[in-house]
Amino acid sequence: MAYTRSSERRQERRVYHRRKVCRFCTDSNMKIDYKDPGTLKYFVSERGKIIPRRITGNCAGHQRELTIAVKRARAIALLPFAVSES
Amino acid sequence: MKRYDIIFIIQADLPREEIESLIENYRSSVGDLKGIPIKVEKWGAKRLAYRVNKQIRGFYVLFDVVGEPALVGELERRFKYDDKILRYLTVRKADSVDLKEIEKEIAGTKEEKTEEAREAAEPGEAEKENPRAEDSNRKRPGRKKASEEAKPSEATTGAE
Repeated sequence: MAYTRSSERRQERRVYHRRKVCRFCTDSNMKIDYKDPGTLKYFVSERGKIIPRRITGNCAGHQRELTIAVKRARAIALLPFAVSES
Repeated sequence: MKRYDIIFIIQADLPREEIESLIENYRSSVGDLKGIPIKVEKWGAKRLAYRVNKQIRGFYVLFDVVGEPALVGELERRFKYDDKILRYLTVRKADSVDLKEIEKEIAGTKEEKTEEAREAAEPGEAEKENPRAEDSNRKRPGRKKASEEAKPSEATTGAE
């Protein structure tokens, strides 16, 4: 019984699992810069929220840098704090 | 002496000359406060991500400056009292600076201005010399986007 359950679970995982890599680690000429909203906006949802790294696949260090950069960019109106619906 | 990035946004609906004189004014006040302006970048009038003081456009200016912390305090104080300044942000880039390096860099940025025309044809030297400058100068709107337009969609679709 226990055996079958664990094998099921493994199958499920195989379906959803996708390897994600930190884009800043792989691409060395991509830099995190608060003055560059063009790059930052790919890590921000349509509503203006920062996308968690479980989804983007960023590594912890780069995600930390990124959040600071996004927040700075927001302060000088390069990125929105929130985008209203409609 | 520390190195700072000082960004401020001027109302974009002012006449051009007034904006220029305002920038010049602040630039010289950096000198008065014993700071060294390494470069002044004018990004021009850009659309703001949200309205600030009921304005939808703002003229962005970046100062790359070396100076004492007191300089930042005083400059920000002046920004605060200036109605034409919508926003400002100061970021410390380095805690200590080598003045000789700075002198070189200032010389470098001056050269760059004349080199800019040539640069388009043969990129290389100037980029190495001052990676930060070229980074913020040119990458921003154009070049980067094109190469990345493909990848990011993948990241966002993963989100849904």
